[in-house]
Formats: sequence, C-alpha cells, structure tokens
Amino acid sequence: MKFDFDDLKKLKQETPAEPDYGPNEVVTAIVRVCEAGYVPEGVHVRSRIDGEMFTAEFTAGRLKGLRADKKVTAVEVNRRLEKIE
Amino acid sequence: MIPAIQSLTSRDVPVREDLDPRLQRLVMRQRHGVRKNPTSSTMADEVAVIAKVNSAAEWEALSEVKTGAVMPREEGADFDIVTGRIPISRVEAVRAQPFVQSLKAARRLRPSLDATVPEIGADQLPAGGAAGGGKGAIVGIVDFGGDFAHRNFRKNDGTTRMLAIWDQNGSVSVGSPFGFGRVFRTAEINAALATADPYGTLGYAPSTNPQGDHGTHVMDIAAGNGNGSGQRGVAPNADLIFVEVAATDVPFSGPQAVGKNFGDSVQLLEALQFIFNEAGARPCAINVSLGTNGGPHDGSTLVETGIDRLLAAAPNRAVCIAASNSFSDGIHAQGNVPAGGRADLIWRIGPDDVTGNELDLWYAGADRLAVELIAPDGTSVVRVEPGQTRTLTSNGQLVALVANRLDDPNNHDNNIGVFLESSLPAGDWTLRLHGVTVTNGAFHAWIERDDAGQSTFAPPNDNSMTIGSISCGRNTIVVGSYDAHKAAKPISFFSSSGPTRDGRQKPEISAPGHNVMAARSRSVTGITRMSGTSMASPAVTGTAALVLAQALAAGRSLSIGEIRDALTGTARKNPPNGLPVWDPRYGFGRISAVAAVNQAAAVPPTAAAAPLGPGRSGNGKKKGVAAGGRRGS
Repeated sequence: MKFDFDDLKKLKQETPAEPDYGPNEVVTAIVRVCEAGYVPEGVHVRSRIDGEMFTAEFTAGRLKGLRADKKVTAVEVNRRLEKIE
Repeated sequence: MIPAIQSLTSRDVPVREDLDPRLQRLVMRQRHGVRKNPTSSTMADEVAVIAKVNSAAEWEALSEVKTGAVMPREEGADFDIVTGRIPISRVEAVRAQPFVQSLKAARRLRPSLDATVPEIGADQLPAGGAAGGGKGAIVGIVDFGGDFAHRNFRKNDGTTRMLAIWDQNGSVSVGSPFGFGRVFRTAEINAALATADPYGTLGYAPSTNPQGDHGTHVMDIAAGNGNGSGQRGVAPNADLIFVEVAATDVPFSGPQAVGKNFGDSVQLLEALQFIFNEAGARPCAINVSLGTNGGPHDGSTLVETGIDRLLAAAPNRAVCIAASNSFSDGIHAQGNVPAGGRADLIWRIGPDDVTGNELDLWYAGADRLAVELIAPDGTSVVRVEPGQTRTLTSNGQLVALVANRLDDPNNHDNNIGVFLESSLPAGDWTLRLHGVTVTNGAFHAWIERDDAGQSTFAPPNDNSMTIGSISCGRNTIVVGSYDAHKAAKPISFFSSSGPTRDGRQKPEISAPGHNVMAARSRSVTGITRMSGTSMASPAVTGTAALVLAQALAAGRSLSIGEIRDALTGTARKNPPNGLPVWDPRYGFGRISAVAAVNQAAAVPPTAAAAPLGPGRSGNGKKKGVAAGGRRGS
C-alpha cells in the first residue's frame, strides 16, 4: 500500500551500520588485489582472472576486514544483470 | 566455366519493357532454354504472380491463368488485386491484356535472418574459403535457453555441434566449473539426442515459452547452420559452447522477477572464463546479452575490467555485448552543479508503478555534493551529506535509502545511490544536488531498468550514454541495432547511444537487429521473430568468428585490438552518415562481414599488436587503421 504524503513527515531517518547481509551469509564478489597471488584470509577463490583479480566467495562478516585490508584494492559485490532483449 | 568479361556482349532484348524485371528475366531465361523448376505452388515453367486488374472476372476468364485469391475490393476502388499462376511463355500476353494494370512476379518473403546474412555480406564468403564459415573457431553464447536439439546446431548426421553446455543452474557434479552448475559435453549431448526425450535425458532444457528462448535465437544468428530452418547464421561452421547463465541469489520473487531471466556479474565473468578455458588455444568469439542501466559508465567496474583482462590475456579472443535497448526510455540525465549552487533532477514515478525504483548518480571525485530528496508534494524527506548514508523507515520497514559514497575504489569518483521502495507515493520526485565543494560540477545519473514499471527522468530527456552497465569496457565490442529490412537501414528506435561517461566511443558497430527471424527453441526446425540489440550483437560475434577462422587458416594470431580494428575499420558508413566519423548509435558504422574478413586476411603474419589493457584508451581515442588493419602506433 502506498503512503500518503502526510506519512512522509513521519518517516524515521537512520544511518545504517552495514549493508543488510547476515554475518554468515555467503557473498560472491569480484576482488582486485594489489599483490599478485594474494588471497585474503577467509576468502575462497572461485575463478582467477589473473594474478590480481579473481571471483570469490566469503561470508558477509569478512566485508569489513576486506575493506580494511591494504592489499585489497576493490571488492565489487555481485550485481544482478538482466537479459537485454 | 566462367566467361571472360571481354567476351560478354550487351544488346536490347525483345521483351516488353513495361514488364516486371523479374518476369522479364524469367521470360528471357526461358527463351535461352533455361527451364524453371516446379515449386510447392507452381508447375515447371510456371510463375506465381500478383496483379492489379480492372476486373477480377476478366482475370479469371483468361485461360492462361490458374486463379488464386481475389483480395476484397476497397470501398471506392476501381480495381482488384488478384493472384494466380501463369505459364512463363504466356506472361507477356497476359500483361498485354487491357484490363491488366500491373503484373508482378511473386517475391520470396525471406525470413529476417536471411536478411541479416546477406546484408552484412556473410554469404559472400565462400564456405570453402579461408574463413570457412567460421570453421576452426568457437562461438560462445552466454544467455538463457540454448536448444541443443534444434537442427541448426547439429551436423548433417544429426550429431551436435556443441562442445559443451554449462548450465549454471544445474546441480553440482564432479567437474563443475568453479564449484557450481553442471557441464554437459559433446558425448553426453549426442547420447541425449539419440533418445526420444533429449531434454529429459540430458537434464537440461530450454523453457516452454511458446515464443522460444532468447539464447537459441541468439546462437542461431551467430552460428546456426540452417540444417533445420533452412537459413544459416553468420558462422555456420563454428563449434559452439553455451552457458546458461544464472544469478547467485535466485530465486527472485515479486513482480520484478516474474517471467524474467537474470544473470549476475560474478557468474558472467565465470561464464566467460569457462568458455575461454574450454576453447584453450582455439580462437573464440563470445556473445553476451546482459546488462542493466546503472553503473559508472566508464569501464571501471570490476566486471568490465575483468572482461578486459580476459581479452588481453591471450590472442584470438573477442567478446561482443548488446548495446542495450534503452535509448528512448528516459533513463539518463546529466547536468552541472555550480559552486555554492544547486541542480535539480526530476524523477518521475508513474501511478501504476508497483515496484521499487533505483537511481545511480556519479560525479567527480574532487567535488562534494549533498543530495536532498524532495517528495512530489514538496516535502523534503532527507538530505544526505557527502560520505553519509541515510535510510528512511516507517514502523521498522525500510522505505528509502540514500547513499552518498565518496572515492569509489575503481575510478575515485563519487557515487550517489537512491533506492525508493514501492510504498512511496507516485509523482515527480526531486533529487536536489547542493554544491558543497565544487571544482568540476558535472554529474550523470541513470535510472535502473525496471520492466514492471520503468520510472524516468522528466522530459526533455538526454538519451546519450544509454548503453548498458557492462558495455563500457575497453576491449569489448558493443553492438547497436538497425533495421535491415528498410532501404535506409535506419537505426532501431530502441538502440542505445554512447559515448561512455569518460567520452570513449561505444558502441563500436551496428548490425541488423530489427525483426530478426531465427531459431525457435523446442521446435527442432522452426524460427521465431525477435528484435533488439541482442539480435544485432550475435551478427558481430559470428563475424568475429569468421575473422578469427580466416586468421587461423593463415596461421596468424589476432589481438583483440586487431579484431576490433578489422570489424570497425571496415564498417560501412552510409548510413550512418557517410562520414569517416563515429556515430553515437551506429558506432563506426554497419558491420561488413566480407570486408572484415578480407582485412583480417591482409594482416601480416608477424602482426601481433598489443591488446588494449585496462587504463589504455580503446576506440574512444581511436588511432588510425593502417593498411592491413593494424592499429596505428
């Protein structure tokens, strides 16, 4: 059901701590590292694109650690793609 | 024996000049002793005609005419349209009747794929030539519903042309690539084809969609051999690998997911890796028809970077991607925020939109913009400062999220994402950008695709940069669509536009994608009609396979840069505009299979130009195509 415009004034604003993954939820992602062959702890490599890039699985609880890992250049969590007709 | 050109003579021919040229040709051929074979509807030396006559009764009274149909006469018209069969020897006599205003030979109505192949000149390449219909090359298809049982993907003896099918939805088995899905190889597929229920036997099947599955249609355009439908694709002798792509987080539910197919960025990358691994050292061209509207549109996403790296890792690889069909959807906006000032974007959500909506905005890394979301009634519901993320909830339920994220790790630009749940009121929402610190000020925004209720920016719309989210890489070949059935070869109204956000020239090329008839899944021999840049891209994929086969036959390797040059450097220019410049929708022009193959044939054996790696400019700074198709230095 749609809100009335009056309802908009009652909306609660919050700053979320983290994306809404459960800590044990398995996340798939593309990971880029700055050191060839480096694999962060707790990360399972699924396919290796080259020395510095791979697809991976890890639990969502690892996301924070990966962001803080200086050898991890970027983590791109899986993104849904639609069929182009 | 082919006569010498010099020995040919010309002369006026004694045949009625007002006769349809096709009928003139039949008459002249008969006079030269050439017999016309019978067809399903005509006897030998007979022709099917359509005529405009003053009187259907007089037409039917002609003894020469085997009458056919009489079209209902329009109100006020003084003529009839009729069909019939007449002996070729009597064509001139019938045309001479005073009540016959027009007489035309029946024209074969060619299925549209039959228009694709001649239009791009693929049929001008002899099957026995070096390109060999793609012989020796592999065509990979990443899509949904690849019907291995269709005769177009089987050899003359009925065995499969498929080297492998990887069903990413399949149950895990020994040897599953990257630990998921199931792979079926040639022997298993052949064993299944030998049974009465090949789908059940193999454990992989196209859907029961009566319109046919997308992947079957796409694969046929690229590489069908016509054994079933009677019409070949672009590279009919290539070997085939199909990946049934899946999404990690299926099953989806809700109106946005009904009847739809999804892949995801990780499993797409793994699909490409799988195909190239299977191909090994063999040349391989892969077609992809996946994407979304959002993203930075500068090629910096990891999925695009990953594809670029796969293409740079070895020669004789190509990936073609459909440009997307979003040109007229009103999903892109751009503007400028002045220092200390503001800019508004109007985001229109329709009253019947029952789904959530998502917007993706990118601006320069040196700038700091705050974003304010204003409801259709003027209520300011949230303001989010640079670096903040805010949610809006009602009774614990999330109704909106606004993230103003700084320093994207891939391009170091800033990104604002706005997600509105379906419970929010429809109308014109305003996204107000406030310039906190501005040195550049430019921004671009895209509204995510939503087939169940596409929200738009309020018109007038800027339809540039509407190519898909994974279509901005540096090594991929992105393909727009035009209508090959019309003389002017107009661009398809839906075919998305470039350039990329960082100004590179994509799409690279265009191909027939409008009303294309190609293989229909679960029909064994049938065809179906589809339109989209998804139908254009496989024509280029097939052409890339021909180019690679040509190089293979000559013992040459082609870098992705050389493959791209062979395709774009030989594209036909009129349309788009007759000029040697890039067009934001046709790209560098319309694909020419015959010219691309000929250019590849001219590449010196020693040529091995470096592929474009991440960080190097693609054709956005296209260098000259030197003789022989090598990328200029």
